[in-house]
Amino acid sequence: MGKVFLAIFGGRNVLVLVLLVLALITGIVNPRFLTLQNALNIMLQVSVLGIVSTGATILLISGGLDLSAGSLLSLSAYIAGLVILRFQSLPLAILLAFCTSVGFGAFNGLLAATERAHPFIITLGMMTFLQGIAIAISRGSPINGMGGLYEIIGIRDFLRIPLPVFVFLTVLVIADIFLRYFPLGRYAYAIGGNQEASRLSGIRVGRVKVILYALNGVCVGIAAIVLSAILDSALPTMGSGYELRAVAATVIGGTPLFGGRGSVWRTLLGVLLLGLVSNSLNLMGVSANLQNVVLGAIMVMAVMFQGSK
Amino acid sequence: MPEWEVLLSVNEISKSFPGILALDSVSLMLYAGEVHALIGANGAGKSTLVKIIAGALQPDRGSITIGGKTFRALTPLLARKVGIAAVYQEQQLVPDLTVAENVFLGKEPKTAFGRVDYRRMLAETGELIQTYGLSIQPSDTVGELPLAQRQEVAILKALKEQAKVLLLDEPTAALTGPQVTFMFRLIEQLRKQGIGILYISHHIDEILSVAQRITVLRNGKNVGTFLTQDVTKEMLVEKMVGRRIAKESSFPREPSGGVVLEVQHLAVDGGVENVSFLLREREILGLSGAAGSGCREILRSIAGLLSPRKGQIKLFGKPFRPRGTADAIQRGVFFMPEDMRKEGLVLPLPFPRNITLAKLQKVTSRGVIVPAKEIQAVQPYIASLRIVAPSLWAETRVLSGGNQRKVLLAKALFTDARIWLLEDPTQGVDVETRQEIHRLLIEARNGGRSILLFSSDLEELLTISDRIVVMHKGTLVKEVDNPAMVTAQELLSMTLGG
Repeated sequence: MGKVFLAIFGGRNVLVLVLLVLALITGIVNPRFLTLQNALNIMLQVSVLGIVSTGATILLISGGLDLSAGSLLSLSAYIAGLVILRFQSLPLAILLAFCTSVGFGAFNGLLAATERAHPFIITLGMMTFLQGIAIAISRGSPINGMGGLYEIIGIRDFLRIPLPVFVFLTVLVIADIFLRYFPLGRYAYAIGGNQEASRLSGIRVGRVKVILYALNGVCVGIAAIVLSAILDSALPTMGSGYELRAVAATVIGGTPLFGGRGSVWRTLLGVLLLGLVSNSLNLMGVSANLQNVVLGAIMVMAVMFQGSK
Repeated sequence: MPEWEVLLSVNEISKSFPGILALDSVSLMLYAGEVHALIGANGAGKSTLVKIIAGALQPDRGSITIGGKTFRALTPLLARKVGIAAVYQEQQLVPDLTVAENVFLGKEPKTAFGRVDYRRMLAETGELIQTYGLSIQPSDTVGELPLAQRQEVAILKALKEQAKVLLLDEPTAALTGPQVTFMFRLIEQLRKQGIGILYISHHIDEILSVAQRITVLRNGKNVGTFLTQDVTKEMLVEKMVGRRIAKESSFPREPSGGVVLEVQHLAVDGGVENVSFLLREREILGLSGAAGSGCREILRSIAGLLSPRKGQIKLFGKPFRPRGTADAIQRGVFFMPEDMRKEGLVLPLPFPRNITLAKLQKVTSRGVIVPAKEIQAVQPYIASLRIVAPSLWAETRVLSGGNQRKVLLAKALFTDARIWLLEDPTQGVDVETRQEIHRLLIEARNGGRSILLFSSDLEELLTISDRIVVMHKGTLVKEVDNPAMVTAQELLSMTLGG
């Protein structure tokens, strides 16, 4: 068991230990914490962040970054909402949501592949741009009541496990298989580790980048649908902040910011840590503002202890 | 022999890293006014020792005595304070500042108004430059200087800080013939001023001409300190590797075959004009030339990294105009850059994945990587190249320089490319690994490969090439058909246009 654990999480036991200790303390203070219901609750709360973080992990491994993920999530979700409102067609809504997220994802990739600016700046610009579009087409008003499949994803569960959690875990497993067994996944590590060497090894770096950013777009699209299903509404700013929390969760998990290493399982740990902490604070009745203070401090400490070089 | 004053003494220093004992109770003394060479194979512990003396690493045991004081460990700041200056290949200079600003960094003279006194800085730097007869200007921007002259700035900076002990790590690695001579003159001048110089190098010939004493490290141990006049090259090599090694001219060779690559009237921006030559099957064609001769541009245009302005390249009789490296690799042409850390290897990847990177198709099945197949596929390369690594999961980063070179060679072999373009394939490796790489290249050649070899190491070119073409300032000036009949001096004078 220990060996399997080590293999999967790359020996990053500090974080696992922190998670366990945290769970124990909260459990002692508030026994409700240690119930299955609460565990599922935490998983449900982190599922959207987890899906966005999975995309962020793939990008970070390849030396990329997408700060527009949050805005793109809002825009995709809102476009889907609009389609449902006007045409009552769920397949069309989902199709257009994905067209938006994958299209702009690939566009980010194209811009990044030109090597004219760091993805940080490129996607920072895209963040404002996409947020602007979302607010413009919505004129600031939310869409409530998504209906149909959304209700199924948002409310139903399977074997008592909420569907968003299933979606998250599926995305995670697929991303892991992609990174481990697909040449493109291997190239993500190679480009993140040394772009020049990758180019000289015959890897078409630009093309790979476009695909990886597009895959990040797929994750954002899935997250958009899941989030508006959970909320049963679409808001033009519903995704804001996800981009940074996704990067935070990834780095806390132990995937370094500058690429070449990392795995989505580490990101699962990072996401769980964030979810666990805010859940414990909720159960202890800590106010929202103070929660942010604690959460921020824990992020910094976790990264320091990870020593992600 | 004059009375020797001990400047620095290293007392029984030990240092271990996870899994290896890098230094095992090493002691040595550095006298004032001596050049003390430190030699050893890759992984012998030279760099570790230098880093400890410079304060960049802390020893596990032992101490360092300098200026009458004994320290358990130094920090970079403390080392500078007690007069130790390290000049690494990658120096800590600020590229955007001028020479004078770098030399005075942190110790700028001030005017009466408390502003930086640039006039005085420039004047004093100018004096220093003149004293040592250097070719730089105080107002030059450091980042725009060639590597050789950046090294001079680093030395000036050390002198300005009143360094007593100078650590030089491969100071001639980036230099060409005349620059090496100049560097030696500078070192001699410093030595006469009473500065103690610890000189790390792979070039034994160089060491024999510049050092007074030589300390040999092997597997983390000091296996002896010798007066230069008491030793020969062969003795030192034997001390370094712990046994005798065979002369390398005895590699057997198969005859070369038909023409595989034709370069006709090639012209490349950046200084290549009207260059034509042929490369045959089972042939190592040496490419010799000083910096700026155009050799690198030729390799890079065949590799698909530069596009030629004029001329034609033919591969197996067909026109060859690769658009990028991917194209070249597909056509069976593989380029191995000199700077393996920057362009050759992905250091965070486990090293077997570097071997397969350029031809991943070989270990996939229906487009999916099969890990078992990958491990199985790299095993023979690891074995035949004798790559030493802690495990198959070891990141390439942790391998020694020589083993990283071998990984790069394994990568070339793995692609099944018929034509190899090599740039200084033995740069920075020890004598033994160098020979091993030469053996591998000749084996690859005998196995039907054609190798275009650019090397700044003339001995290397003369030992392993079947023919050599000599470049000077962008044009081909000579073809040497029988390298065995040529000496390094003769080849050098050809590359200088003689």
